[in-house]
Amino acid sequence: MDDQLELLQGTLDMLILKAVSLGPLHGYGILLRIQQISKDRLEVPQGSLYPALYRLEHQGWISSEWGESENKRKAKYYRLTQTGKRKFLNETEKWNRMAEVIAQILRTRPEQV
Amino acid sequence: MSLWRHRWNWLRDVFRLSRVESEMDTELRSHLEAYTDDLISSGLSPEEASRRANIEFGSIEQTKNECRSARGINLVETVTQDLRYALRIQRRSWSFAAVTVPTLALGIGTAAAIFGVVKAVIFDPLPFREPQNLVHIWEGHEHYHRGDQAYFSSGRPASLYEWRAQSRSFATITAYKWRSLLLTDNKQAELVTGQEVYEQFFETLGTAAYRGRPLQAIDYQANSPYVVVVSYAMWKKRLGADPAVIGRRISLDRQSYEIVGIMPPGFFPASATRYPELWTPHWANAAEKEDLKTWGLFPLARLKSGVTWQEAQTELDVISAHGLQDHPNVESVGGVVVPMDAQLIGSSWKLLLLLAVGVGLLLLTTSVNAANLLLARAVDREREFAIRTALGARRTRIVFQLFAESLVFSFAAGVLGIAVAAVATRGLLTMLPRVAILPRLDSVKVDFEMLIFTGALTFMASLAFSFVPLLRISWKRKYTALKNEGRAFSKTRTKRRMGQLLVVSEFIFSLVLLILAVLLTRSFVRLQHVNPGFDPNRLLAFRLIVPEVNYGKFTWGEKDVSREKLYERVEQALTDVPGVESVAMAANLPLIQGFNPSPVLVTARAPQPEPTKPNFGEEESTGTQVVNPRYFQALGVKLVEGRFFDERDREGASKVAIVNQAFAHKFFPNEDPVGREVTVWFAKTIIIGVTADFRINALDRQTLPEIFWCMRQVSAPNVWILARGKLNSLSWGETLGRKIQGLDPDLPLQEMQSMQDVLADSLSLQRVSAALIALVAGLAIILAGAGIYSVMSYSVCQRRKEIGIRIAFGANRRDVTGLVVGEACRLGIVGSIVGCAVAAIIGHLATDAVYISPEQASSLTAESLSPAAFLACVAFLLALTIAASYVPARSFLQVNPLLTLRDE
Repeated sequence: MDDQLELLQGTLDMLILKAVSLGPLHGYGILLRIQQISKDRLEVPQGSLYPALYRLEHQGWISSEWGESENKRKAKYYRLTQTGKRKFLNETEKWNRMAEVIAQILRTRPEQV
Repeated sequence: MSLWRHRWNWLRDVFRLSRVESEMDTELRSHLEAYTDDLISSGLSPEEASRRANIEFGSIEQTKNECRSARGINLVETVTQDLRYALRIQRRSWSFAAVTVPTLALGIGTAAAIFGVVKAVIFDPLPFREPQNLVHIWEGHEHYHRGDQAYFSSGRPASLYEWRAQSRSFATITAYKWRSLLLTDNKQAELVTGQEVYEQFFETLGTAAYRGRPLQAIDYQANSPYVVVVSYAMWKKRLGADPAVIGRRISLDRQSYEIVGIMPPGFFPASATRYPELWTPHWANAAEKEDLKTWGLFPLARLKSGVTWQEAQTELDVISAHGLQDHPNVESVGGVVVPMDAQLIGSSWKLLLLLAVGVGLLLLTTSVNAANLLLARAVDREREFAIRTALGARRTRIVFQLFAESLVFSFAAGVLGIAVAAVATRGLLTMLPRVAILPRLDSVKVDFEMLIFTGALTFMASLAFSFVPLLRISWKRKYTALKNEGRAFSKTRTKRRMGQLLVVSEFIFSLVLLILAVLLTRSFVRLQHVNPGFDPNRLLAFRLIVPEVNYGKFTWGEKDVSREKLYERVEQALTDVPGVESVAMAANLPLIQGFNPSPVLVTARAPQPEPTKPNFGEEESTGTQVVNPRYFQALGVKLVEGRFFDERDREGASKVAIVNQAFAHKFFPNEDPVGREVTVWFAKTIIIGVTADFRINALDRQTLPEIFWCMRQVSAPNVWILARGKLNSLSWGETLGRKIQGLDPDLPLQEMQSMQDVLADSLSLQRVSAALIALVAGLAIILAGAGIYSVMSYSVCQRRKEIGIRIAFGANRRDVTGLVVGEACRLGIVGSIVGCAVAAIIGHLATDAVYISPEQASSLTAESLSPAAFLACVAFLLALTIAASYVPARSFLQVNPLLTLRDE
């Protein structure tokens, strides 16, 4: 557990979008999927998942639908909308650029300045 | 497009709040269950798993709340919640609502009703095009421009034509004169009152016809056919509201007229009370342009745009000055310009001002009362608010909730207030004098604007009420209330200050109202005891309008044999009726028809230099009356000097007159007027007698000089008849009517009423203003009494521990009662000082002469602001305050105060 990372501010939305882009998922499923992809290295606070989901749905990036979960429970499944897909690509690209820039800055050595 | 989706989602969510809630709940619950299942399958016991799941998830309620915010439905939900909570609170403390809602409704309803009257009478635009440019032009002396309307006189044709020819201030000048016409279409002839109007009358007023057309220029050409425009009321009442009435012919004064138009309802408010029923064109002949003898014209004019009525007045003054130079022998007086709205509203604005002040104060009192109760409740709920703040409620949330609570009961009060307004409007309309004072009362109704007004009042009330307790709680630090409760010995001074402020303000409001009510009632009672100078008992008054079609046109100052003969026959016939004691006849009815000012020239005994020109100054004018020989005996007016009229005073004999004492004092100070010669307008007359003054103009003003001519020597167009019966019953009125119809079937008796009623009606303005203010003051006093009582008992309740300790240390009952009553007295004295000052200011405002003389405006005069009345009112309210504070103190002492110390 100790090697788990805390979530960076503002990244949860992206993770959720990524998770549901792979197929419709309910809230708990999204949580599991993120943990699975991150190989348990990311800690997602359960309480903050749902407000994020509701916000994304309100913004129209994801849509929801009631269905039945694996163990026969009523569950709300979220999927990516067309707008969400565009936004997700957009955000991914922005994130990659940002990560690259920051990585590059952090790699900078004194003689390179 | 996605934006619309959001909106749609949001709207859908708003309308399905409960479903959204339950879905959210299901979703979170299923998450927890799934997680718990996973934990169980990883080897934990079910209890442990559920515990872990809950801990790791965190607060479900908080998550839900964040979810709501995320969807943007939180605000709406907050509002619904607050309103729902407010309703629940209201249901819980129904006794609070039962007190607050009706009192508030009373205040709001009365205010709305008065607003309706003020709006109809003053603020609603007159039914004319650009009414602000319309003026009336009276004839009178410039000295009276801003003075007493009693000295204004109707106009003459020559003045009208002179103004038309010379003035540049007016776009158009026209005039109307009253005319009674015999409508002979129906089986029985009816007398209708109409106006004969000069050219450009309808163009000047600029009101479109309801059906058909108004009179136009073509109706004034030579050989134009006879046409008439009728009023909406006439069309409804006498013409059966027939839609095809345009083009129909009716017979007026036995002449066939074609109806060419119907004017809209409410057209045109010529005076406060008289609405004409029809309009016919007046065809002026050449001689009329020189006519300075025929009075009775009412000129109207439209100012050119950009010209003020003051400028027009200045111009008319110049014109009349020139007129005097050019024709020194003509009795020229000059025009007095009065704006149309001032003319119509006249003095009624003062009554309305008083009412508005009264109702405003009543509304304030009710509001303060409600605020009082809310405040007391807010103090009790301090603990609740403190707990909620401690649990994380934001202050805005609490503020909003208080507002929601105020809104709930203000809304209830508003709804009830509309009902009160409807009833009060009807009540006001029956109470307000129909006879004389307020114009356009017929257009008063409960309408949309009144509802808006009520709504605005309600909203403001709720804003104010939520504000009051807020002042109380925001002062506190968050948790002190929690710590304090049950521990503090008594409320601190600052905490009680708000309650004291409310007591003082209630005291002030009701004191001001009480003083106004007492002053108005006092002057009304004083007027009721004014001796009219004649005996109004067993006296029946009615009017005889003589149709021109049967008796010819009438001109003042000219001998009219047919009318004189008629009056003599009528007098004889009525005197012969058994049960009739005596009959008085006069052109004017005492107390109803105003002063008719005329210049007086006294012929000196000794020859003097050229007599001064007749002038229209107050110093030189007298009222004129035409009466039958037995007038004074029939009315019971005393003779002071000389003799009454008798059989000698007939046609051919020298013209004689009787004057009143006011006349004698004014024109013959220190001289004997009997036998002297005076010239008044057209008549050179010899004074044969002096009568005691009697109130011929109005009860509430000093008798003005009057000269009486005998009906056998000077003719009158129409007459009022005053018949005194032997018995105190007016049942013989019909007999008189039959008797006169026997002489001439076209002579209906009009406006029959007892002289006692005339007397009472002449005081209706005073009676109504006194009654209304008294009513409002009564309500305010009851409310203030209740309010002071509740504040004082609450204060006693808050100080119970302090009082308990005092008693424990040996204070006796009297000390404790003194403590409470003393506080109330101090507040009352502060209230008295402020209240008296405010009442004095309002009283002076109400007695101020602005346009019309103060006596006519209201019965409040400067001398009626007596200190005794003020003192009596203060004493009464102080007594009330002491009683309102003594009772709770006493009832508190009845329980053993020491028990309260052990209470907690």
